[in-house]
Amino acid sequence: MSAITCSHVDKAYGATSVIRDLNLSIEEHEFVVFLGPSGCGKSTLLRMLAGLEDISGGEVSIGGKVVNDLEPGDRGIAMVFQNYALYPHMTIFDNIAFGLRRQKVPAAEIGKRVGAVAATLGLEPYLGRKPTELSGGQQQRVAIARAMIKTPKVFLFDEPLSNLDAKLRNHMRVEIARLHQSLKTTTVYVTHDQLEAMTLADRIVLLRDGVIEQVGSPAEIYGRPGNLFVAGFIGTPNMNFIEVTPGRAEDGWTLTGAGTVLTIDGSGFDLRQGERAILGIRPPDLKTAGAGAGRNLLQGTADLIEFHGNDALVTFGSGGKEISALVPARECPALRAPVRYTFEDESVHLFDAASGVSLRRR
Amino acid sequence: MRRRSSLPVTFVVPTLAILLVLSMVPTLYAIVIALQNRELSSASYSWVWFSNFIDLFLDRRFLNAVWVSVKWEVVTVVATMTVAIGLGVLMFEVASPRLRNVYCLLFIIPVLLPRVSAAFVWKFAYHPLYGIATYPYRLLTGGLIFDPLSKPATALFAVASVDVWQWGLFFAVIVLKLLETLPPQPIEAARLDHARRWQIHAYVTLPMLKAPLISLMFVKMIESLRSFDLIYVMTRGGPGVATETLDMYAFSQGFIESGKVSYASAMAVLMMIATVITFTMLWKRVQA
Repeated sequence: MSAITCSHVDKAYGATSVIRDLNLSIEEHEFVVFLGPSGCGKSTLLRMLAGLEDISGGEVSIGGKVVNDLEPGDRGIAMVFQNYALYPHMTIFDNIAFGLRRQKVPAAEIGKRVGAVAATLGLEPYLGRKPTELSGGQQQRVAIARAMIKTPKVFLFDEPLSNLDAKLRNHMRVEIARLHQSLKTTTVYVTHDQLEAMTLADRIVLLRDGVIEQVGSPAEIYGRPGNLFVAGFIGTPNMNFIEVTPGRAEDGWTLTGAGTVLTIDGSGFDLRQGERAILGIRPPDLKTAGAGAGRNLLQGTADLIEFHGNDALVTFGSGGKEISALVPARECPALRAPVRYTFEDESVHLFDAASGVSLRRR
Repeated sequence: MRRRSSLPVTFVVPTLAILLVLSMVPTLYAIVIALQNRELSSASYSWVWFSNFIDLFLDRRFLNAVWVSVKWEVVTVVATMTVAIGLGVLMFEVASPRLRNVYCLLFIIPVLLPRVSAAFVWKFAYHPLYGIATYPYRLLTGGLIFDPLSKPATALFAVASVDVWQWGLFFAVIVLKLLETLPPQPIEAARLDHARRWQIHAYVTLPMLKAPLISLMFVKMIESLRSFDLIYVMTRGGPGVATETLDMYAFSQGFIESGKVSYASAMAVLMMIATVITFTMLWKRVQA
């Protein structure tokens, strides 16, 4: 039993409300990622689960037991911090063993368990060293070892990879994914890096200003964003947004905006004639259009080209609107050349212009 | 191309020269006097070389002074550090940030008092009939007299308490500020690791502050060597020789009782040598 439930959770610092009426349940064995921009309350929420922050209102339960008033040590959780938070004056062995010693585990067993955890994470050669003698990646592995050894019901990760360089970050991400595959411990992971969220999560909880914007699997969040914020936040490069006015057509809908008229089937959306909407298209969904007339053309002059290696991001102006297309590098046009892109009906996202909510039918 | 600027040398050399003269001349002069038999009562003297030192080791009052000095040093340093760490941790754990500021202000006041004023204040507080510090004893025993400053067993501790009152409280403020500079994450990690409050401090925060705490201890050790004014005002080394430290004894030998400046200088020289050796050894040990 290690499910987590938050019901009507609030957090306020004085008059400033950080988290408002948050409801969330996390299943056993699940890997949930809290994702959001800085200051959205994701770390605060994690620290409330850990017991490092008071809960201003509502109830948090772990494994069916309300933990609001429990000490952090008594909640059956282990946490990995962004800056590792190792005890700088202790050896790696002592760092890992600290929690067990406080629980008065016999020394022989401590030795055995530290050995086992160190073997899993490849830390055996470093057990006698001090944290400062280790690299960032190794230190973070020690922090993970320190969390693992307690065999907690829940793992909490607070941006564990943010202090590492890009290459190491990828490596550690894979290690964390493997670890979760083998341990199956319920995990809550906070990050602002959507790549981490996408690759690690069973479910992503996208937060903004202390409110959940959307909860769903990475595919759901990417493929069916519930509102403009989610659509804009998820996906690199960012989704193109074009303000359009829908109009009825015989075989679907016309969308007028950005100096062009687009025709879509529109059956999956709750469109209303003349009610302004926002069209969203991800840059990778724009395909180079062949010569001659075609449907749904976005055209303009390439005014910025960013080479990514395999792909190139082409930015062009269409009807006074900047639009980006991610195309294979070999299709990359020359700077200032005219470009024409088209898209499939399925790759269209539509949002209400006033509320920002997705118009997709549920 | 070796045209280095001579500006640093121009500024540093005169200052260093003056400092060297100021520190070395009295020291060397003390050593010279210690090898003679000068007295305040007469201008004539002769070289007696090490006889002053030999006399010292046969002087039971000198040996007592050494013992009192060691006791004083240990008692004041240990008590100061204990009070400082205890109070500092207590403030860190219990007091709100605003209350901490108030305590800090209060705790700094004693050390701002001149030593002599502090000594007089406490001398009166320890007064057997009117003192506020002895008042609870009189109240509980129905008016029995307790004079801590005139009992050989308690005099040293009574004087030491004033020293601790001044420095322990001040150091408590420093310890609090040191604790506040620590990153919060290891403390939080320790809380998650089932550490109790006191264990967090015993195993995490205080070991993290080992280097600054040791520096504080050294500062206090050096400060404790200069206790002359406090003891002079409160007990003048008494009762008997119960609180007569080396500097008290040297002072009374040199200027009060017999005017044997050479004898007093020999004591000062021994003190200097002992201090240098002790501190060098301690410093080496701490650095290892």
